[in-house]
Amino acid sequence: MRLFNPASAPLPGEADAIHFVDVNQDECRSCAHCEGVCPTGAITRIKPNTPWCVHYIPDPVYCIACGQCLKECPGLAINETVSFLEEIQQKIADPEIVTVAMTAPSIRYTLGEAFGDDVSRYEAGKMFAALRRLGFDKVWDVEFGADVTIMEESAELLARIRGELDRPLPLLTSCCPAWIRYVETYHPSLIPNLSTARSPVQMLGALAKTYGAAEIGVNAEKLYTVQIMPCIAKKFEQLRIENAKSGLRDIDATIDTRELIQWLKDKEINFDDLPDEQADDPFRITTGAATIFGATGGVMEAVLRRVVEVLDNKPLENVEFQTVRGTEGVREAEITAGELTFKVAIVSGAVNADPICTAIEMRESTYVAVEVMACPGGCLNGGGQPIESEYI
Amino acid sequence: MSNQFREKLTITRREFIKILGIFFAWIVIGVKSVAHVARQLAGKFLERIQAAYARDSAMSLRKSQDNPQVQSLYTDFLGEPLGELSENLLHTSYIDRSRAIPAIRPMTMRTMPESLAIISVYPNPFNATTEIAFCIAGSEMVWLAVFNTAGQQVCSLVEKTIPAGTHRVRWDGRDKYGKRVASGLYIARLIAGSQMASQRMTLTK
Repeated sequence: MRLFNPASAPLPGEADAIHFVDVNQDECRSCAHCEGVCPTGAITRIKPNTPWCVHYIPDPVYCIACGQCLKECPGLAINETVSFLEEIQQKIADPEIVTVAMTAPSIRYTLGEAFGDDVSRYEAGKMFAALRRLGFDKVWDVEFGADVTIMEESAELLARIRGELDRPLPLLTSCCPAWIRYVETYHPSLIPNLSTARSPVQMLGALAKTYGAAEIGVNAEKLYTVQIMPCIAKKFEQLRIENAKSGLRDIDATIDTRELIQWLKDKEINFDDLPDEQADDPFRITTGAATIFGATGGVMEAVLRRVVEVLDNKPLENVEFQTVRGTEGVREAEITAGELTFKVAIVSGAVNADPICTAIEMRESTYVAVEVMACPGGCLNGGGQPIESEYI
Repeated sequence: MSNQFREKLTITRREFIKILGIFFAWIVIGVKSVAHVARQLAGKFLERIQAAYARDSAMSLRKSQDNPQVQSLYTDFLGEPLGELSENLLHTSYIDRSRAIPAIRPMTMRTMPESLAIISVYPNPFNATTEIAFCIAGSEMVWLAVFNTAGQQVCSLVEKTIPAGTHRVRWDGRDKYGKRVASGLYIARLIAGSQMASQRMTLTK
């Protein structure tokens, strides 16, 4: 069962007017479960206050494209409307173009679910091998981009704490594109609080078309970057006009985990029999801080591993911050580093974000940093992740 | 029954079906198989999160600053975090998209207020625009208007029947003719059904 149409790639700048998810009204069983998981009320009944009637998304400006409705719909009535799959296949067939696959931290834990025994485990080696079998010339790891994001974001947090940067606290993380759109649409007064650091894959895309292209000796214009994400909102992020910092589009195409699994199944690649391979230089080596990016609290923990070390001015001994881990909707933790003691908060799911946003707007919050991921549980439970193995 | 207590007891239709389903399945096919099915129903993300943390503790490099390729990226190319090149390549800006949203919108469908109230006016004091948040308990004809201290109506923001819940309305500091009003104290007055609420707000230029 496909939840997307492979030939429907829009152009940059069209993003605001597109429904990234839409309801197939013939399939909708009016159960109203999507209303409960939608963080913004974008999905609603076609006739207000009528218990049994189909749902729809009246206007794309309300929707932050997190895709939770699609993931939670028991009838598979909600599908994606944007897919770059056909365009990517054309580019791979073109011998002039160097196609680069960029793999998100979260997809390596869920790819294996669709093949074999339906258990989540770490499958990075097979994932890199599978992408080479599909015809990608290079595989670069977004976990590397995540490490760079941590360097930038923690430098920014330290500058804000020390008052060197004229921007307010708390720092709001900026890795989740659906969360960014949520702030821009529903809490625009918090835009100065957002970290200016781009998301890991956008950083990697900009680096790929400058530093990376030079390292492998390829003209950056011949590079075609494909991000493979557990996320629907990344398609929106890719199409944002300003995401062309390298002079070219930093990311040229996006597919999510479901589309990759469908592609592997169509090509009849036997995932379980693949050997373990590695990503390509110069974006190959990654750290533990990057691999937990997909879990709620993971970005915060990775930032703390850097910030606490700098504030303590000595190597960090215990890198595990157990207090930021968990799966509750809103969590807070107190961190002591050097002479400072500060509080951080983690929000899992944009449905839980409104109270904390309002508190920051009212100047009632005492947090130094707040991490928000729009999907409950983080990217590992993202809108683009496999739903059930038989439905992908 | 207080609102808070009611919220704790409320479950969605789907949760109710899940609970009943697990209960009857337990009666029919026994504990062990049900545990497997229940784990699937609860969603896979717990298992995925555990896999990620397990991988993290198995890695030799666990801090981003220890990544040798990141270090050489900064020494060979970028310079330092927040440096000029990274500022250009790795940092971005954001757009205020709230204008695309019609002036009035429901904030959330889940929280049902108990009575009429203006929850907040933010920012206040304000320059140029402010947002008035209010909630109504039932679907009602609502009139939200701005008055000056002399009691004259400056403009009317909402005059229609809207559903129950919390709503936000933006006021751009203009009167009913579209002219910018002077600095000073203004009063937002909300009338819904037989109830009334008001809130003071200050415009500073």
